[in-house]
This record gives sequence, C-alpha cells and structure tokens, in this order.
Amino acid sequence: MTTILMIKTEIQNLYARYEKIVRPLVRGVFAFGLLLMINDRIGYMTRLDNVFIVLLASVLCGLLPMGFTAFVCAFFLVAHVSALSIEVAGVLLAVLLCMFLLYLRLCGSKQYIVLLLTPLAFVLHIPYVMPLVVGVAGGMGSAIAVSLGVVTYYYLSYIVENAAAITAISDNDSLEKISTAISGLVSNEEMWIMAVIFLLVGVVV
Amino acid sequence: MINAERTRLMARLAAFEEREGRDALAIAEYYRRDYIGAQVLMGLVCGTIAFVIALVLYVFYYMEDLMQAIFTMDLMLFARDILLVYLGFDIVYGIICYLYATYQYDRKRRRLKGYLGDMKELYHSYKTPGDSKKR
Repeated sequence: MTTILMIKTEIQNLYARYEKIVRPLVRGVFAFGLLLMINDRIGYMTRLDNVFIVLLASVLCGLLPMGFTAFVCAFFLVAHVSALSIEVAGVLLAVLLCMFLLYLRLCGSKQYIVLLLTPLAFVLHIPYVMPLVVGVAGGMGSAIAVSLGVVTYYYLSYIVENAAAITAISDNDSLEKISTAISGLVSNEEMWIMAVIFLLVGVVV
Repeated sequence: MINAERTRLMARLAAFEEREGRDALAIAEYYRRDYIGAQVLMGLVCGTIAFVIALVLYVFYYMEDLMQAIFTMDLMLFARDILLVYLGFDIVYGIICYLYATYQYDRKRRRLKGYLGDMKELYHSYKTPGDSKKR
C-alpha cells in the first residue's frame, strides 16, 4: 500500500514539475486520436483524410483550450459530411450550433472533454462507462454533456448508415435530402431514449 | 531570511490566480445585477437564434404538408402558435440562465473572498512590529 502511495506522490510531483509540457501534450494526443477516428469513420472528404493536416490540427488543439478541440472536431465532421451532401452537412451544422448556443457556451473545459469522450467511448464499445464516471466525478453539467455526446454519436451513425441512400437521392431533390437528414433526429427513438437514460444515470449516480 | 508564512500565502495566491482566479477576478469587475443581467440577455439572444434554427428545420421537415395546407390553414393562428412556443421557450431558458448565472456569480465571489482574505493577511504581515522594511 505504501508503495502505491509513493508511486502516486511521485507521479503527482512529476506532473507538477512538467505540467506546462504534459497538459498540451495530452490535449494534442487526445485531439489526434479523435481526428483520426473521425477520418476513419466518416472520411468522405479525402483532402482532410491526411495525417499531416490531422497532425497540424492536433498541435493547435494542444496549445489552445479544450473548446478549440471541440470546434476543430465539429469542423472536421461538417466538412466530411459536406462531401457526402451539402444539405445533410447543413442540418448537422444546425444541430451542432443549437448545442453550442443553448449549452456549450456556458460550460467549461470539463464538459467539452466529456462531450468529446462520449462518442469515443461508443466507438471503443465502452459507452456505459461515461455516465457512471460522470455521475461519480462530475455534476449535472457533465451529465448533460454526456447526453449531447450520445445524440452526436447516434446522429453521425445514422448519417453513415444512410450514406448510400442519401447519395442515391437526386441532387435536384434537396428537400428530400434535408427531410432524410432531419428524420435521423426526429424519428430516432433509440437515440433519445439512450440520451435520457445516460442523463438520468449521470444525475442519479 | 525567507518568511515561510508569507511564502505560503504568496504561493496560494499565485495558484488561485493561475487556475480559478481568472474567471473569479473577471467577475469581480461586475456588480451582481449587471453580471446576471448580461448573462440572461446573452442567453435570450442565443435562445432566439437556436429557436429560429429549430423552426427552419421544422419547416423543412414538414414542407410538403405545409405547402398543401398553406391555402386552407389560418396563418394568423399558426403564427400565434409559433410565437407562444417561442415565448414559452424563451421564458424557460431565461430562467435557467438566470439561475445558472446567479449560482456562478455567488460561487466565484465566495472563492474571491478567500483570495482577498489571503491578500489582506499578506499585506498585514508586512506591517507586523519588528519588520525593518518601511512602507
């Protein structure tokens, strides 16, 4: 037990000594992983699917606050989806804007981290960790961020699953594409149920 | 000779300024009413923009039904319903912003109290008898 405490103290001292290097490095690596995951899963825009661009973006994300990482991820998402369909990208942008205007502008770095980690947890097949961790370590604000992360993940999954159907719609039929994109929000009961459950678990735990 | 107590206080003050102090010191420039008022106003503006975005999405989703019904529906009633929904949403969101801003302001002022207390203690520590430095 004493050994563990000593190791913990050593790690804390090391972190305290090199904090100015460790924090940007961790943020940069985190952003790098996120952007690689986005390129892998939704890499419709080949110009962005470039490791040098991802590296450059990660370096910037490491140097700037967490909100910038969320902004860069949102930019990558909208850019990739715009290569699939401009209309769907517009709907995605509208959804992300609503999230920002109503909630994210009020919160701090912690909520941005939770928002970005939630889809990552889904991709790593450990989604249920998030509401539990947030319930123990976070507050109501973090529980809402988890719900928003769930909505983001499910909506992006819907877009990816229906990519073929969206591409098959004629370019002249923009309304049909927008309608298909919005129905991914409105008719996706599983998404809303999961979002509510994650919120409740995050609050109750 | 280094005064351990003063060093401890200065380290605590510096740590506060480095972390939470940035937000707390920024809030110190506002009166409570001004800060909360600004936050609620910003919230109402952002809420209005979000509502307009949601309304546009709603119109696009139900475009076909709306185009069919536009000549038979009571447009004034439709506009009134939209306005009522908007007002209800804005009131609820405004209340949430008010509560959040109040909570944030009170929390940061409490932390600032601790910081100001330490500052005072540091200031007085330079004025203790036997201190050769004249100020």
